[in-house]
Amino acid sequence: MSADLALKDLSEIADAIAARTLTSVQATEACLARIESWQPRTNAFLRLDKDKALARALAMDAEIASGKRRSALHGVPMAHKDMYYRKGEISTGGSAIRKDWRAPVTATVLERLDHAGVVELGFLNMAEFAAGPTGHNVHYGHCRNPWNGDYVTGGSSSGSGASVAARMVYGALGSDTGGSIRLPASACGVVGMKATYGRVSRAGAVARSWSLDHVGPLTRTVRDNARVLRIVAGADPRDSTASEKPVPDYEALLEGGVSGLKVGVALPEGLTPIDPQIGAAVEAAAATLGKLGATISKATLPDFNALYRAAEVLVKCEAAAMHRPWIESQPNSYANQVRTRTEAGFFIPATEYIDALRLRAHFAAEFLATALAGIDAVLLPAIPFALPTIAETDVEAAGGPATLAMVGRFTGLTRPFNTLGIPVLSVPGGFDANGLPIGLQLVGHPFAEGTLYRIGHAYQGVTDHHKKVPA
Amino acid sequence: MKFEDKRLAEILAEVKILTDAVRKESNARLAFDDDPAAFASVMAQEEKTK
Repeated sequence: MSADLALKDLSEIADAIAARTLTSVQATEACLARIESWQPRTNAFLRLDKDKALARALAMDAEIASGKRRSALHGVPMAHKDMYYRKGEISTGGSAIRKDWRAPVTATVLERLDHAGVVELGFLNMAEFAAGPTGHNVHYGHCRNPWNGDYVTGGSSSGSGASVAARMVYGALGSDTGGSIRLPASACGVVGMKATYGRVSRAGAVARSWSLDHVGPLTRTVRDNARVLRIVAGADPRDSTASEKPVPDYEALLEGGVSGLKVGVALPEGLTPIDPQIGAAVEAAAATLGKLGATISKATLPDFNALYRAAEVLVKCEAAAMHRPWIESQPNSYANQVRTRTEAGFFIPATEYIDALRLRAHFAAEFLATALAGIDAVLLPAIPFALPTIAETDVEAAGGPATLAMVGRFTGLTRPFNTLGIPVLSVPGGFDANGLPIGLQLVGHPFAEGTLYRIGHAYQGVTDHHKKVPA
Repeated sequence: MKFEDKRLAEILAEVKILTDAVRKESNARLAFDDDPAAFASVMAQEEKTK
């Protein structure tokens, strides 16, 4: 099977399957061939089910032959972070504790992809219980960046970023509590969407923090991402936070261009100074959008430290509540860095937890009235420094304060937007001096994912960062 | 749940940083009637369709 098939975008593959110029089996075999050569280099997959995937692809081809096309994703091979439950199957959450645990239900997002005709190749590496911004996993082996295996992938959706970047899959679901979609998207050079809180159901997915968790897709292009989000988004009686707002046809909005749109540019210091080469990539992207017709201005952002600390209070308290039985009974089953990050949650007063929840409405209203007032999107970096290596960020032995410092460095520019709940699209914005990807964040108004896709698509129309393939 | 003294001191130092930060913002912003569920309303009300 031609390996070139694996290099095509999700939308190209889906459209070719629909046009019957390509079969789902051919696309699946191309991904499997790509996985065979790239899995040893990346450790992106935790489980791969070739026979099941090929049987499913065959069934999807039979439906196309009979004139049935389920959706714009019919026959497309994907794989997902190993935290989305499939009834009766193992779902580890990247943990040792659940290495043999079988899920009692299927996640709503997997049900929607099933209904859409997607072929599931398997499940992907991730940080233990979605707690970790680098891609380290002491239980299943660290995930490695396809651009250079010595470097981090970003996390916690490490396998999602690596598998999409290495062209092993056409798209993958990740999740984002403090940057876990945007960090791997940025580090691996792919597109990631953390949609508005409640846009995508979390039912049947491992929680990190119920108040801050967001489900979303990682893909190679903005168009692909828009196509997947439309399928997985929407109301869900199994998740009371899932919005009942109608889901737009995001792909139909892509060609609107950026003329008339207003983009604010920000280089906030957050918890970490911004590396000049990262800042230069942001400025270059702003100039590109300006040439395309967008009005560019300087954005004024609030105190990110306050937003960050509020998120930390929420995630630590909620994680402590859900993990308490296991931390009490089998503390050594956790990675040191995961357990020590959670422990403060046992000591934070309930009053501060509730106040952090009450503050969110104020923070969000203030951000909309200031940073996003009169503009359509804020452009800023995702990771403020050039990517470090896996060895440089290994805090497993140090634990405690070293872990907090490392997490703060990585998530200083991403976690505040989980507090705010507003949509953020991460798009590839170039490469650093070491040849590792740089990611850009586009932050928008609540439920204005379509506008972010429109800006990202226009940017990808005149740049080629997303077209480069790891060798 | 028991912790060694050194680890307990680290945890309590982290808790102080977090609670101090939240209290500072709470004192500046929150009033008696502020409801945790108001966040969802802000998301819904501030929706901006383009």
